[in-house]
Amino acid sequence: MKTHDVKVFGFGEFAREIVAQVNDAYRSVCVYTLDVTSKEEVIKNGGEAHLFDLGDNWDEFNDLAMDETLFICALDDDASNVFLTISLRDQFPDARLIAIASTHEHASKLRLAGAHKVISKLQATADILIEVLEKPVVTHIIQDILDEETRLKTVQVPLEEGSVYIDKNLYDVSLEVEREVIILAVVTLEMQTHFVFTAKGSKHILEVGDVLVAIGYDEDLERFKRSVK
Amino acid sequence: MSKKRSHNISSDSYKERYVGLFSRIVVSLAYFLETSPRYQKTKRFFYNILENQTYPYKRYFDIFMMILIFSSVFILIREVRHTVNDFWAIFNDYIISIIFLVEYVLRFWVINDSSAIIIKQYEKDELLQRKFRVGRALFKVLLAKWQYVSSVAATIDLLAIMPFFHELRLLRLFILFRVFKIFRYTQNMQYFASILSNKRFEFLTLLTFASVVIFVSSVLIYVMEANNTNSPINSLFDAFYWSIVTISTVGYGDVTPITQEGQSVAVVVIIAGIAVLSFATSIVVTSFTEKLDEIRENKMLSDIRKLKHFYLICGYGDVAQQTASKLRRSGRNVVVLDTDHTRIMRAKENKLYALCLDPASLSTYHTMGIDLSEQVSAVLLLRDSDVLNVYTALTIRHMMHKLKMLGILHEKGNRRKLEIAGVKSVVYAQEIVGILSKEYSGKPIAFETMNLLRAESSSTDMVEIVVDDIILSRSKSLQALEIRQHRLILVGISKMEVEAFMFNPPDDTLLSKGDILVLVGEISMISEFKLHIHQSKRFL
Repeated sequence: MKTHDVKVFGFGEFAREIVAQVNDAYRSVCVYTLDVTSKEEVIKNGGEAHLFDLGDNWDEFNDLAMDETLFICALDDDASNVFLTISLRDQFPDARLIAIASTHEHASKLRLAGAHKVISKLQATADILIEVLEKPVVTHIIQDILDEETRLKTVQVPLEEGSVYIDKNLYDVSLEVEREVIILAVVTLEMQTHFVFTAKGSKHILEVGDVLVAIGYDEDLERFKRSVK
Repeated sequence: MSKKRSHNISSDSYKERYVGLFSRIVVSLAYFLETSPRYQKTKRFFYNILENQTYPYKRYFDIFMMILIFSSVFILIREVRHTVNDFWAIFNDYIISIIFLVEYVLRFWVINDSSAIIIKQYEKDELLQRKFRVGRALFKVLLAKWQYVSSVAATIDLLAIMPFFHELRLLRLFILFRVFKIFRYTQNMQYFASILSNKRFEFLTLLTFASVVIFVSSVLIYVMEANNTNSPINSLFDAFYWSIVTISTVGYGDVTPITQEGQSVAVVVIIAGIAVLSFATSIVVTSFTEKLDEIRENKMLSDIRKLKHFYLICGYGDVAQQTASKLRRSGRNVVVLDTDHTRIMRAKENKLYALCLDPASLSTYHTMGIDLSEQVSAVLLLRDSDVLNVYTALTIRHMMHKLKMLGILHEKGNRRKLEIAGVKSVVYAQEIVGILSKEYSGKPIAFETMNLLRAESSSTDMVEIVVDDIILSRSKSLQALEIRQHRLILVGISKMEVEAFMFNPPDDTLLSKGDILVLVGEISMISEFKLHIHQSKRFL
């Protein structure tokens, strides 16, 4: 499930920032706007943009590989954003949807409408403010992880058939690689997260389909990924 | 001479060693109490029952205590003419008194956090790199306790226990002080007293008027009635008694004027009595309508001044509401300033300290009477525009140069202006959402794992622990901390001397004072680990 194409709906101030962040990371980033001015602005800046309405005509997405496409619903108007999310979910049940919410109430509606992930503007801002206040070093680490320019990263490494770690205990594996990377957790096929430091997590026997989540420096993480295979 | 000097030196050294040992025991004990979940839970329970008006079970406790008070007074009254059986006498003299004594001791315990005072002093001394002053810390603890003991409420509580010493007959009268304890359990009574005290002048005027009427009417009625043999008013005291009974509109009728002149005086006194009663009623009513808001505001200001530390939030928009409620949930004190009355009302509804004052005005901080450097942990500039945030930042910076300030950015281009104004961390919501979207789109599982790890509702956390002298006294390197054995993961260490963050450092990394360890693990294990590393070798 590797994302190649991103479709961003809306071109308000939040959507603009999303486009700016994801633009270089994917094969194609396409903006869908409700007004001509925004469309022209995107095209003028060298991007790809289309007009759309909130009707049910999504024919152009029929040929898309849904497992490689990510839809980001970032319309400024809350009601329209919920309607867009529910329309996309209705037409493309397998589509991966991220939606941007302005309030808590809006976030819960977006979840009900079928968004996989809802990013609440208020919640995200409040969380960052509190972390800066209460845990400045932790905030610094998180910023480092999120910053493309720094070497510290997180990875998710799926365990495939034939991996050397299959049938091994999660805790033992974490000790084995502790000098290179820190394994934080395993996410099972049932999407259950077991942290390595919990009793359940430490006893977990790794299986095909499990995803290891680790933190480390670029080169160590690459080495770790190779060793998993 | 030399022998004496060496004896003095060795005596000083012994003294220093014992003081050092005592200090270590005091700090270890303070950390033990501060990090002990069972102790904190017990203390919190008693605090809620005794002091927290919002605690749902407090009212049951209050009702129970009021029943005890009324039982005690009832038994006192009963004893006047009847013999009270042994059970009720023991119940009154011992059981109720012991319950009140236990309550007094519990209040004495929960009223403040002595271990926090010691830890604060210890950490302050550590920060300033000076020797821990255990005497000063203990003095602060005693001072805090004395402030409670010397309060009016605590004095009444103490006097209410006195009937326990029932052999001293005089002390039995202290049972009446139990009645005053009712003020503790009924908050409205406290409000009522504070409202009325604001109308002292009006009450004094009323009292003067009533006194003049009583004096004049007493003399007049005495002059009119005393020489009449059929009149019940034979002395100045009778006249005075009649005046009081009449002006209060009680009118028992046991003493009445019989002459026409006396009855004329009675008409005047009756009319004056109605006036006095109406005036008194109107004072009470108007004081409620006029002063309640002001009293509430003053009480809030006084409560804010008493706060040891708080976050000052300027502006109470949507982001501020989220931030404030999260801070409150994590036990932090928050004070909100906003010029919009509706927002302030909302903040008050959310149980925050909120004042309708302009955060960009110097007079606001003079009105508040707070010590910015001591009380304010950080200022959050969450107003509706960058212009207001810059203006507020400069106002605060004008008063306190080094205060930590964080702010939200509305227009990307204004970031630098906020930084110049002294805002240390500028948060741009749009950028955060963009980064989070990108991170989620690329690594959804890793993203969710990191979120889950730090989520408020989660039993796991990522924490910072500052290396202090106690930690260093038992562990010189990371290995000795036994982090793995406590089922924790060390993400890294922020080294103070090089001001750099070491990710996943090797076990033989040496620790220095002021280093910050970043750990992930279950919250209960983190607490246990904190306790473990703060126990000195000797204490173990």
